[in-house]
Amino acid sequence: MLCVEHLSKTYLTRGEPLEVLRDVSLTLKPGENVAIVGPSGSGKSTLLSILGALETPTAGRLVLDGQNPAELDEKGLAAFRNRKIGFVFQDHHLLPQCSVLENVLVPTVPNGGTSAADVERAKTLLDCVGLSDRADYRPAELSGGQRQRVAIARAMIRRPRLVLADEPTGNLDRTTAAQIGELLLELQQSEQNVLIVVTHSARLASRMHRQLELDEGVLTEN
Amino acid sequence: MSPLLLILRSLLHHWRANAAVAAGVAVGTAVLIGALLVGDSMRGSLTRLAVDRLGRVDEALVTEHFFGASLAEKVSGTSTNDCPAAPVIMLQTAVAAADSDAPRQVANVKLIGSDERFWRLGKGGLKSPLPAKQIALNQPLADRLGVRPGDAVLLRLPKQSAIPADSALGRKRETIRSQRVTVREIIPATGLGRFGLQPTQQEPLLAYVSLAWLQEQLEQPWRVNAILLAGRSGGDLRPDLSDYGLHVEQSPLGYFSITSDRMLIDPSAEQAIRGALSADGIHAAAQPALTYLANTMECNGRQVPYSTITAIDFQWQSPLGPFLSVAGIPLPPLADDEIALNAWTADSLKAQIGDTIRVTYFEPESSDGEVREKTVSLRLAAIVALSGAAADRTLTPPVKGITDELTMSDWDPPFPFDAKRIRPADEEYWNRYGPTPKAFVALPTGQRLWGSRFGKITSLRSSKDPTAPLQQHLAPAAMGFVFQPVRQQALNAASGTTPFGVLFLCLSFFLIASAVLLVAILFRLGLEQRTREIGTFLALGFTPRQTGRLLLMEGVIVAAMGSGLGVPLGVGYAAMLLLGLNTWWLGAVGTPFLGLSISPASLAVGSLSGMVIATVVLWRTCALPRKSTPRRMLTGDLAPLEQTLFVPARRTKTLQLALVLLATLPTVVLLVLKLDERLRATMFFLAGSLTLVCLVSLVRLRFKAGMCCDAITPGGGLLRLSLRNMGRHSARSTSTVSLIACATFLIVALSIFRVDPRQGQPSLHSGNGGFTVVADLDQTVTGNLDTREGRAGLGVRPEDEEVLSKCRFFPVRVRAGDDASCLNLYRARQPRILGVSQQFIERGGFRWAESPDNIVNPWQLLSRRLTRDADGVLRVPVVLEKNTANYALQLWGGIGETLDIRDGQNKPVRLEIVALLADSIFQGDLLVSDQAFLEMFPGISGHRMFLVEASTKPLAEVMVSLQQALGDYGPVAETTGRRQAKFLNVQNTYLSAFQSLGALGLLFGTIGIAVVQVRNVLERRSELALLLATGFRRSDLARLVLFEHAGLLLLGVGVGLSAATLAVVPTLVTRGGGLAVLPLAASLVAVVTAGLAAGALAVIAAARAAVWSVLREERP
Repeated sequence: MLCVEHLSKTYLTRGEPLEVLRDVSLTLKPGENVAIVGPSGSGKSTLLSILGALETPTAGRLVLDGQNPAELDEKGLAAFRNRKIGFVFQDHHLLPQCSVLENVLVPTVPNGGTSAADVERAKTLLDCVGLSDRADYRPAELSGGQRQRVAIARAMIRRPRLVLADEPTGNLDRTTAAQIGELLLELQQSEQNVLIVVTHSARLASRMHRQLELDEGVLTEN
Repeated sequence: MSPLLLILRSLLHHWRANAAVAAGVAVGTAVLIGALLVGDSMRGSLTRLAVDRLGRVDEALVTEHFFGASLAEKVSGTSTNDCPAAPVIMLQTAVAAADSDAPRQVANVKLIGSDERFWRLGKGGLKSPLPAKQIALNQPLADRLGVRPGDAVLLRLPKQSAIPADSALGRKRETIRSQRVTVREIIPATGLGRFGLQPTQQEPLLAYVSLAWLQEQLEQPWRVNAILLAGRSGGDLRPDLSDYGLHVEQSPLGYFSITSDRMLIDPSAEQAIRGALSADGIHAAAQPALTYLANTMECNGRQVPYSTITAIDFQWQSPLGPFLSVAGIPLPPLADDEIALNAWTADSLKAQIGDTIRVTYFEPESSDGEVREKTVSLRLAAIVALSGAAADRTLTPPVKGITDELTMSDWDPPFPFDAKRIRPADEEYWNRYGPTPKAFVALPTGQRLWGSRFGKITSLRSSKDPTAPLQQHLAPAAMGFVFQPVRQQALNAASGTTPFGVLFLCLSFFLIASAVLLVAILFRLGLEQRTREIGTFLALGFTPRQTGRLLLMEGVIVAAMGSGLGVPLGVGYAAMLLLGLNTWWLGAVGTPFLGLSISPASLAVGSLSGMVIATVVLWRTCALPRKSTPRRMLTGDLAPLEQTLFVPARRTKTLQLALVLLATLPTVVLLVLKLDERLRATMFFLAGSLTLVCLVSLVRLRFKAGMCCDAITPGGGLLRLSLRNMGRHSARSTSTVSLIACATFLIVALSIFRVDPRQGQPSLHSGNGGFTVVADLDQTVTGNLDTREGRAGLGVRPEDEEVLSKCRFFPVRVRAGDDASCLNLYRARQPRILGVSQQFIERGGFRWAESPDNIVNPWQLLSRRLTRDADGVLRVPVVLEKNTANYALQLWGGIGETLDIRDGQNKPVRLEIVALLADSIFQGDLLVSDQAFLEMFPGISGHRMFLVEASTKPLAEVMVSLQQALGDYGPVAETTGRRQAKFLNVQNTYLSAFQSLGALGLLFGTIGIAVVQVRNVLERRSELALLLATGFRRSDLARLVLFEHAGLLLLGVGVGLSAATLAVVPTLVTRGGGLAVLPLAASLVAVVTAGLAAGALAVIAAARAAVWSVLREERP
């Protein structure tokens, strides 16, 4: 269960403080998925970063599976991200030096190292995303859609409780974007985790259980 | 998947960036290894040279006096391994080309008289043995003389006399004779061709003659003054008494007399003899006697000329007594003011008991070659019968030219002698009694009147034969017969005075700093390229520490590879430095003798150090993941958002003000506080470095705060935009500014240490002490050059007299020793010791590095009374140059520090530093008072150095006259300016080396700058393309980049110049003088040019990078 209460984020600037998020509250249960839409600069990516424990809020709290990342130290926070959260970025952020399989396995390296079970799961995930025959390829040898599939598999490898996707189809053509959206939902449903997708795509947003809009830092349900 | 695999994957994927970092590490490591190898090579070459010049010689016995050559055979037979021993005569002399049109004389030549045994001790022998009157020269000497085989040369040979020249009976004039010989062979200066016992890397000037011929010329048949031994002496050295110059003869009266061929038995020998006799129970029965010459004995208006007087305590027992009165009654001991005349003399003077006898004699010690008469009045206490113990001519020791003459008129004494005073009666006495004493005084009276530093007895008489006890118990060491382990000493000395490894590490400092900076820049650039990758790691659950560790491990592998690559590069760098030392920087080592020595330890230490330094630098850079948020990094931005948005302006201003104050503080402190030279030099670098750091920090702060102007203003043009862009990457820009600032600082700051010796006019309170000429001599001069009579005694020609009479001469006593100046790379064991006169001490002068505050003339401290420490060691005040104390002798304690040396009797003496000279002509020398010198080295007579004050005549004329006047003594006269120049040349050469290596460092630095600038431009491709799209021309973009780059360069020069100025101002104010502005400006122009050349790459990159397509490109 993800519970966000009265979250806000403000940046200090040379002039007036910049309030990016204002009193954002949200509750999501396992298996739920939600799309967050809004104009550019509305604070979508900031919200996603806070939900992903990449940034800390100025006020408010976030609880995932009973844990508030704001209360964790650096090490605990990294472990929290590693075990509880899966990221899918608009830019896939694959490591160019690693193979497809290795990229999927990268999250297994910290906190104990890669086990045989991890490798098996990675292969299964690659099978799920249709890339089992590309396991030894390098990212540079893949198309944009294929790279994003690898990124989705990597996001799922640690069975996270929360998957955050920031414009996952933003750099893809329409057909591929649709395929990637479906894949995300399929995997989310099979894993029964919480999926939050930030997108400009109305089509992808419509496929989600809920659609939320963020405008000038205020989150409202559509 | 494992961290190691991740690291290996990254290592390979980012191979270009890693290779660049590895190259930087390789350069840094190479510099470290190269510097260490220079140290190894220096030690190795000095060792090789030492071994080469000594051949097979392990030990050497060198004595002040001649001894029997047969001792060599005894040593050879008794040594542990039946080692070959070569008896030789070694002298310092001068050689002149006999048939040269222009007089060409070379002094400071080592003359070796040897036979085939010497040439068997090493390489580089003669083609055939040298016959009489033939000479072999080594190549450097032949070159200096300009002679070839078959040419004639003149050898200046010292006349050997066992009696010290400063004693009354010592020979003071005509002590040198010239011998014409023919050059038979010229041998190369290798092996025995550069033989020498003194450790020095300079090529010695050597001449070789037949041993037998030289013995004949020196009138020392079958005698030598040195034995060279291949092997160990084993400590069983048994010289004969004659080797010590001692003789035991039985008198006709039946007793045994121990005498010395030096006439006086010197105090240390007397002590050793008494010790040896004590061991056999003879000591108590031994009777000392001192016989001296009275020029006149006078009583009742009558005189007896040239009589011997013996100071002896009358003994009653035969055969040493009794001394009977004319009435046959044994005489009681004489009181201190009493004298006893023999019957002949009393009769000749018509003297009665109670009469006053006036005795006139020469003072037992002379100085400046002038003997002075003195008179004492004694009461006639007894008249001794001229029979029995009193009629003993053996009481007078044999003196060549006196006791061996048939008549008194035939005497050829070394003192003023008037043969006309000899009466027939005197001749008759001489004919009947020879040198039998005509008068007697008590031993204490005689020793008070005629005892000297050369001794207080002329014989020790014993009723028992002392020969066997002396042979058995007389310790050779106490008599100056000690085999010195010259090979071991040379090998120890080869460790050198200067730790060249450390020195070249310091000289290469800027090169190392540049390499480190280069590594930091390259690694940071590599990581900045991977910011998104780092962000991904953090987003995927890696902690910043884990991420940093992954990056660091990768960096360590790169550093290891780089340091491995640095090993062969380091060997190459060392070879380059050695080539420099053998050619361009020859002034630092004097002779091109260096060869490359590679020690595995240095390779290991150098490469490990390179790796460690690189790892530390990389570790610092690997803290990047902590410096930003994962979110920012995922977007490829390293700076935290807050940093880019918000700058607390007030705090920055306060910090800036604090930095400015801190930068100027050291200068103010240095100007206000009166620090001594040592602290001032340390403070110089501390102040400079602090100022530099403060100013660079200030620049960094300004960069971070944004430059002080609006980027775009009406009429602002490209310049303002450039200024704003300079602060875009504050770390990169600061690196560039730092590098240029460091280069500028070093170039300007070091220029203050470069001294032009030609500027040094004679001045009392300068390094030359106001002296214009300094003359070193091969042979001692006992004459006084400061008086007309003294000069006449030395045979000065009238035309030279006119020149020299206008000069003031300050004679200096010299005890030869190791060269401890910066011209010698070997470690000095016992440096040369100079004894300065009271006149010199009172004159004062010279510049002081350290002296007590309350003393106006620190030389006066040398006149302090000599004392003995609790352990009985004599403590002597000494003055020396600070550089010699610190670097050659490793004495860093300054005033009060002590140095133990050995005196003439091989006893320890403790020299206490009372003041330290600065940049003087006495570099390498230990200066003590005349009195202390004679206390330590009583056997050394005369002077072997003259300091000359010449005011009116042209110096060249003075030099020529001086060379002419002292020609036979082998003078090396040079101006004090030239002498200082030789020392300063070493200092200036090191500065040149430092600046050359600094320039090399700058070259590496400019590579870093170029990389940074190109990288900057490539990162700004879209920005440049946008400017192009908005109407900028390509030339505008090129200018924009050029302005940015030039701005950073000028900022760097400005910061370096400001820091250097603040650092050197206190020194300039204290020391005076100025800086050579033109060469400085040229160096700075070179720095800016090198920097602009590096920037040109960025300009070209800018012109190429600005293409429309960039605007359409997707993000990577």
